[in-house]
Amino acid sequence: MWAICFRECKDLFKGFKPVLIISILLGMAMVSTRLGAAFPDEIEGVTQKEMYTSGLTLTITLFGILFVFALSHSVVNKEIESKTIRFLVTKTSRNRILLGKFMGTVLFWLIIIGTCFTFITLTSRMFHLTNYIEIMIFLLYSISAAFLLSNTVPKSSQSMFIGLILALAIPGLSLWAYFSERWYIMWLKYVTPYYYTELAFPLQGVPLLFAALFIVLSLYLFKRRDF
Amino acid sequence: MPVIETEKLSKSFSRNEVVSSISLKVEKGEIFGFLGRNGAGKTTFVNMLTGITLPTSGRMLLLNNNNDIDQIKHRVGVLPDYSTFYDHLSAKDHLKYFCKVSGKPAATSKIEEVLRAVGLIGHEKKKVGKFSFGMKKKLGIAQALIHDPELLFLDEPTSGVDAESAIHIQRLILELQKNGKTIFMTSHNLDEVERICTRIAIMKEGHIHSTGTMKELKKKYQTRSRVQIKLSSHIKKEQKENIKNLLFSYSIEWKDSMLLVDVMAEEEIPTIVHALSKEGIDIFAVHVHEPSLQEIFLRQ
Ligand SMILES: Nc1ncnc2c1ncn2[C@@H]1O[C@H](COP(=O)(O)OP(=O)(O)OP(=O)(O)O)[C@@H](O)[C@H]1O
Ligand SMILES: [Mg+2]
Repeated sequence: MWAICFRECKDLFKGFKPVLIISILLGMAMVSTRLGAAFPDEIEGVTQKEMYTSGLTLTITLFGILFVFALSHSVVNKEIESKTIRFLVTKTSRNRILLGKFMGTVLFWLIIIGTCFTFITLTSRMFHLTNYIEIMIFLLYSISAAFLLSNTVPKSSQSMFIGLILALAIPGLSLWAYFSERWYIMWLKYVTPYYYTELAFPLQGVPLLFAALFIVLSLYLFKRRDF
Repeated sequence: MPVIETEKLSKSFSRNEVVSSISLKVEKGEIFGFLGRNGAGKTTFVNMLTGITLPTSGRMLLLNNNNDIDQIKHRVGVLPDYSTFYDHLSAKDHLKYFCKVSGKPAATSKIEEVLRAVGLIGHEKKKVGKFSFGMKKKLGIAQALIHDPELLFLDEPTSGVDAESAIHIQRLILELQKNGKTIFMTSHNLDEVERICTRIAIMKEGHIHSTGTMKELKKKYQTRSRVQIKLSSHIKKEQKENIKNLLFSYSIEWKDSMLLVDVMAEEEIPTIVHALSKEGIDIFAVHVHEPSLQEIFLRQ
């Protein structure tokens, strides 16, 4: 399992996409630390501390799902397409393959976001642990969703297309759901992570329940597959 | 104790039954050859045994472990029928990675030993994306061997490799058997199967049509044998006429001084030889032509 985890994490760092994403995140972190330094006083309810991390939080809120889907939409279906999955499936259990890949992806994001926060902490001289956890909860939700996507859609070209549409639609529709009273859209805010970030400690973790559900569903689908 | 045991193992792809109720036993130390035409269901059967596909019904038992196939995966090596690798990794990286995945990390010396055994030494650092088909096949065999498994499934191990490498791989398989491993292989190369397999099953349209050792299969399918009798090269026309009358109940043929007789049973051969020598005809050699696996196979 750990071999698969580290391989997945390492492979995620390869190529152009991760470089772009890391630059955007680090760039936004830098911009907002400047902002934090420039406005030491509270502005419209936003504290200086929040200001420091605002760039990162905003970017992840708007584009987090897009970034995660762009990198991980094909985490499973690509290996099935290329049949490399056969080498794994004949050597270890299917649970370990999927969980290994999941942990590798989580590790990748822990490192990326960790790097951004280290940078912010060093410049702001403040710890932002809650913020780090908030972002990671959001990303865990997104990663699990990407795994479910990759297990449901058989072709990587299709999962890229569907993933792209979902990644753009989910933030927009959730925003609509957040402000709307209409029954046909209102429910959506309860199944996407945005609404819960506003809430206090235990409810903040609700997206993790969804993440667990997505992973359990992915495991179920993955275990019933022919390769 | 059988190493592989299946009971009524079946597989359907959306109602189309591809493997129908196969019950089979393979003992430890065998090289079991699995034959059949394209689409007979060989790969599907092997894939069920190796956990690549899930059976629709039936039971299977590998290495006497009836609980969980996951628990014995590290004791089984598999060459799938068709595989691509990770293009950006080298052969060595692949073997290292697969070893770790199977939970049996291997030393560099072991990796080199396996690469040498399959004939990939010298290419171990090359990216696999640049490998030829045959080289990938060899790497496929290497990754099946790297964790030193007791049981090996090789789906067409020599197809697509050059003649010299094929012989090399066949030797390797024999060597593995000598070391107590059990090998289950499919092949379209009948000579190869005839030469190295201890037992053979022929599959047809999802069923096992016949199974046994080469000897047993020959006996079963030997409806007629052709006996070649070499006579003196000075044999005359009237003598040939005589022989024709003598063996009137047989279908005979001449090839120069070679007499070809079709017999139903081996027991008839002495009678024929006796009759010829009684006529004063000298016999230089008698050869009984046995059907090859190819002929048996084509008769299926
Ligand atoms: N995933 C699949 N979905 C549907 N049908 C399949 C699938 N895999 C195999 N089949 C069908 O099952 C039958 C047996 O295929 P299989 O690959 O087992 O044959 P085989 O004996 O290995 O042939 P070959 O000698 O060409 O390797 C074929 O008719 C094939 O079309
Ligand atoms: Mg096949």
